Amino acid sequence: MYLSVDRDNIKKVTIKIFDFLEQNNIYHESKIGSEVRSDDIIIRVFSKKDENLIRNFIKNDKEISHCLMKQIPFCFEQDGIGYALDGNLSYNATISKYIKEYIKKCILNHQEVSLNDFYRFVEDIYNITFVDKNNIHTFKRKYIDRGDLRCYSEESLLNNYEEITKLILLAIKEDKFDFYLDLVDICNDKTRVDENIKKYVKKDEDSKDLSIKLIYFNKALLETYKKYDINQVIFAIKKAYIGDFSAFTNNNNARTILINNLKSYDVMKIIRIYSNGDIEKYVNNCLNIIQTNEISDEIENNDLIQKAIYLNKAIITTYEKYNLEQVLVAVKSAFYNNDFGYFTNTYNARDILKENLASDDVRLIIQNKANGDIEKYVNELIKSLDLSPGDSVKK
Amino acid sequence: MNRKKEMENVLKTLYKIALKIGNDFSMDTVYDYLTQGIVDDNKKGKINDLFPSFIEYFKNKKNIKVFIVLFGDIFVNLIISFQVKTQNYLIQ
Repeated sequence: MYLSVDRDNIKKVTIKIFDFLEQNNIYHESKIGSEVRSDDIIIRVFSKKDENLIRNFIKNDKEISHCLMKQIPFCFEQDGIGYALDGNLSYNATISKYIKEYIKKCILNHQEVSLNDFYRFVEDIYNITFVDKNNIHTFKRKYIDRGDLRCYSEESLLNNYEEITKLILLAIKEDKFDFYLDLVDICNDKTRVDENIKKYVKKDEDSKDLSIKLIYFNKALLETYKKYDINQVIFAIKKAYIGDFSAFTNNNNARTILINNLKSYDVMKIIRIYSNGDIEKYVNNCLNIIQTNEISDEIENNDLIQKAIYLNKAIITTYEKYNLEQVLVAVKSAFYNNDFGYFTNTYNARDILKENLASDDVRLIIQNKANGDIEKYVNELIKSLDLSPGDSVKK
Repeated sequence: MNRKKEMENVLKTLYKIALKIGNDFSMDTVYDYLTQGIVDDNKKGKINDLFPSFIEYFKNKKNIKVFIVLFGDIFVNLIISFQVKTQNYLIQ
C-alpha cells in the first residue's frame, strides 16, 4: 500500500497509522522513504483482511485522508492509496524499466508514444517471455539486476516479473479495484507459485549442466548413506550449503568429485528445485526411491542403483506433469522397445535416461523389484512417495 | 483528469525528457519522474532528517524492528518490521 504524504504531515500520519497497526496486531513490513514522493510510506501486508482494516481506518480518519497526495497513475488506486504487489522486486522500478525500454524503442523508430502502444509493448513482453517462454535469456539480460540475483533465485525473480507484468497490464486496462484483489489471490497461491517457478527452471539454459551435477550429488548422497546413515547425509548437505563438503564420505571418490564439480549454490539449487528447499524431504525422497526398489541390498551394482534413480525420477516427473496413464505408456515403451520418448523431458529427465540407460536396463530394474510387473513397480513407487498427478494434456 | 489520460501524459512527458537528455535517459530518470514528478513542487523535499524522531517513536513499540538503510552517511530508507507475538519474521 503506497501512501504519499508531505513533510508537514508525515509524522502525524506515521504515528497514527503505526499505532493502529500495533493495536490491531497486524503483521507488516513497512518503509518510510527519504523524501516526499508518491510512495514515501509503504505498508506491506500479507492478507486482504489486513488491507481492508487499514484502508477503512485511513478512509475514515479525516486527518489522514485529507493529507494524502496523488498516486502514480500506473498503480491501482483506492481511497487515495496506491496498490501494487512486487514480491522481491519493486513495482515502480519494474514499470520504470519497461517505460525506459519503450521510449528508447520509440525514439529509435521515430515513432510517437501512446498508452495503447505502450500496452502492446508490455503485452508482447508478457506473451513472448512469460507465456511462450521463448525470450527468457534476452529478458534476463535486459531486466534482471545482478544485485537481485545475489539475494534471490533467478526462477523466483522471473516469477515475480511475470506477476508484476500481469499487474501492469491490468492496471493500464482496468479501473476496478476488484481486479487487483483477484490478482493478489492468484499471486498468493503458493502451489501455483511453486509450479510456476519450476517452469522457469525447466527453461533454464543451465539445466543440462545441473543434471550432471545432480548425478554427482546423488552419488555422494548414496555413498554417505551406505557408509553412515540418513542423519549424516542431512548433516553433510547442511554443511555443503556453507561450502564445506567434508561431511560426505570419499568412498568411490564421491567427495572429490563433488568438490571438483559443485559449489554450495549448486547444492542449494538442487534441493530447491527438487524439494522446494526442504533438505530432509529431498533425502527421504532420494532414499525412498532406492528402498522401494530394494536394490541397494539385492544388487551389488552401484551403476544399476544410479540407473534406477534416473528411471524413477523420470517416472515421478512424468507423473507429476501428466498422469498414471502416461507413465505406464512411457515405462512400457521403455521396457519393451527401449524407447524413452513418452517420458517428459522436464528437468531433462528423458535426456538423462537416453544418455545413461542402455538396452534392457529398464527391464532389469523392473525384473529385480517387481518380477517384471510394470504396473506393480510404478504403483508402488507412486504410492510410497505420496505423489499427485499433474493436469497437462497427455502426449 | 482520468487515470488513462494521466498515464498517457506521463509517457509523453518522459518522451520529451528522453529526447532532451539523450543517452543519459535511464530507468532512474523514469523512476524519479514517476515517483516525484507528480508531487506538487511546493510540497517536495527531503524527510530523512525526521528519521531520528521516527526512530524515537518506534523505539517504544513492542515487537517492532527498525532497519535504517544508509547510503554513505545519508538516511535512505527507514524499514519497519512488525513481529507478531513470538513469530520470527525477518525482512533481510
